[in-house]
Amino acid sequence: MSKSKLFYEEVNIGDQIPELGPLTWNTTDIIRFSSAVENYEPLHQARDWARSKGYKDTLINGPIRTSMLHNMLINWIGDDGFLKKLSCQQRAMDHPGYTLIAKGSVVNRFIGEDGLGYIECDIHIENQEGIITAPGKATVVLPTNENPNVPESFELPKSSN
Amino acid sequence: MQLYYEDIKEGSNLLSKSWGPLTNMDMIRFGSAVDSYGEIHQDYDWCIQHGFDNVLLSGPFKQALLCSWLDEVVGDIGYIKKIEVSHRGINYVDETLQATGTFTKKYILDGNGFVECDIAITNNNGLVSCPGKATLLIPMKNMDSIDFDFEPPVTYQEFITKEISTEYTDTTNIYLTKEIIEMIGAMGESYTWPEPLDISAIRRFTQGVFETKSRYVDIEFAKNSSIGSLIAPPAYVIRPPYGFWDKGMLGESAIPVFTVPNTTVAVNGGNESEWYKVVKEGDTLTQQARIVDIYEKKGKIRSLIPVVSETIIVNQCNEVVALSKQINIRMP
Repeated sequence: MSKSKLFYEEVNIGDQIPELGPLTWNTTDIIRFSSAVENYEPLHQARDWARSKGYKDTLINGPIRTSMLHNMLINWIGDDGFLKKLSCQQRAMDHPGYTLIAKGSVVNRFIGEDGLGYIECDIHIENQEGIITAPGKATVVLPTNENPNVPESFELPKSSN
Repeated sequence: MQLYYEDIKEGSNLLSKSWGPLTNMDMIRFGSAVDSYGEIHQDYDWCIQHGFDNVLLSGPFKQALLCSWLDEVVGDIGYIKKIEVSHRGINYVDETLQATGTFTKKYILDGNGFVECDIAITNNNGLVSCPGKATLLIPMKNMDSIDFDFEPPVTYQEFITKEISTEYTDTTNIYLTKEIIEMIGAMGESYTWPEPLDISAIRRFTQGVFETKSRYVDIEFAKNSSIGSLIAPPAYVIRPPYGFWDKGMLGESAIPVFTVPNTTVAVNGGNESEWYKVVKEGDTLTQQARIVDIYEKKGKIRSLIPVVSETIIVNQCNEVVALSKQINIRMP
C-alpha cells in the first residue's frame, strides 16, 4: 500500500490525500478491533444493551475511525514520512453495517526550523450518508530534496519536560 | 488449600462453583482470547434473526470454565488429565452457570494418584447443559510437585498415517452416501500456530475464564516452580475444528470442508480432550485434525449425523501435548 517515498516538494496546498476505504464495519469487525485493544465495553458489542440505553444500535468505536485516519496518512506519506500530530473529534455516531471513508486535503506547507518539510492537513471520516462523523487535523513531516532523512524521533515541547 | 489423594472419598462432591450472570462482554472476551469471532456468540440481532432467544454462550467457553474450575479443585500441585463434555443444551448470555461434580473413582497408577469424577453445568433455570467426566491428577501427601509428562497413545507420525475403517454395513442409513462415508479418515492441513505462546496470550485467556491459578498468572511463582516459566491453561491449547461448513478457529487446521446433503444445522455435540505434557511460554504448537467417524443416529423426530474428528497437538520438539476428539452434529 505505502508509497516508498513522498517528498515535500511534490505536495501542494489543496492536494487531496488518497482516500482509505470505503470500509464496511460489521459487528464482527468491530469486535475484532475491540479485542485487539482489549476494550470490551457493552456499548461496542451488546446490541440489546445499547438499545436499552437509548442508542439506535451499538457504536463503531471512536478509535476505529481515528485508526482509519491514521492509516490513510501513513499510507500516503510512505516509509520515510513521519506522522507528527493527529487530532480528531468524535462528532456523531456510526453503527454496525455503516460504510466509512477516510478523506483529507493539504491546507498548509512550510519548512520548519529544523529544515524538514511540514504539511498540515484537514482530515475526516465520512459515512455512507455523507455525514462527517469524525473531523480532524494532522501534521506530517516529509523529507525535502535538501534534507532527505526524516529523524525517527523529535524533541518534546518544552512544556512537557 | 491443597487437596490430597488420601483425603478423597469416592462418592463425595467436588466444591461447586458459579459464574455470572455471564454477559455478552464475558462471551466476547473469551472468544477474543481464542480468536473466535462467530456471530452466534456475539451479535444479538443475528441470534434473534436465527431463532435464538439471545446470544449463545459457546461450547468451548463452557468447557474452558469447567477446566478452570477443575484447576481450582486440583490445587497448585495437581493437574487435569482428561475432560469429556457433552453439549446437551443451549446456554445464553445473562445466565448464571454452576459447575458441580462427584468423585466416582480413585486409583494409583505408576505412583500417581488419579481421581475420576462426574461433572455438569446447571444454569439458573435448572437446565443441565454440560454433563461430562474428568480425570484429575491429585498429589499424595508426600508430594510437593508432580512432573506432568505422560506417554501419548500415538505419535504424530502414527496419528497421520493410521488406517481408519470406512466400512459401513447399515443399509438403512439415509444421509450417509458413498461420498460422505469416504470422508472418514480425511485429514486437514497441518497448522502451526502463528507465534510462540506468549504471556499476553495466556493472560487474555485466563481473564476470559476468570482463572487465577498461580502457575498461569503469577510470573514470580512460575519462575520459582519446577517448570521455571508460566504455562498455558489446558483448555487454551484445545482448538479442535469447531467450524462446520467453513474453516475453524485456526482455519487451516480444520477438517476438510464438506456438507452432508439435506442437512441444514450444525451444532457442537461435545469434546473429549486429554493432556500429556504442559505447554510452556515460548512453545510453538502445531496441530492437525482428521475425521475419524461419521454415523447416523436415527431419532423419532429427526436423524442426527455426528461427524467425529480428532486433533493432535504437538510442540516444537514434536512431543504430543494433547489429543482432542470433537463431535459436530449435523441435522436436517
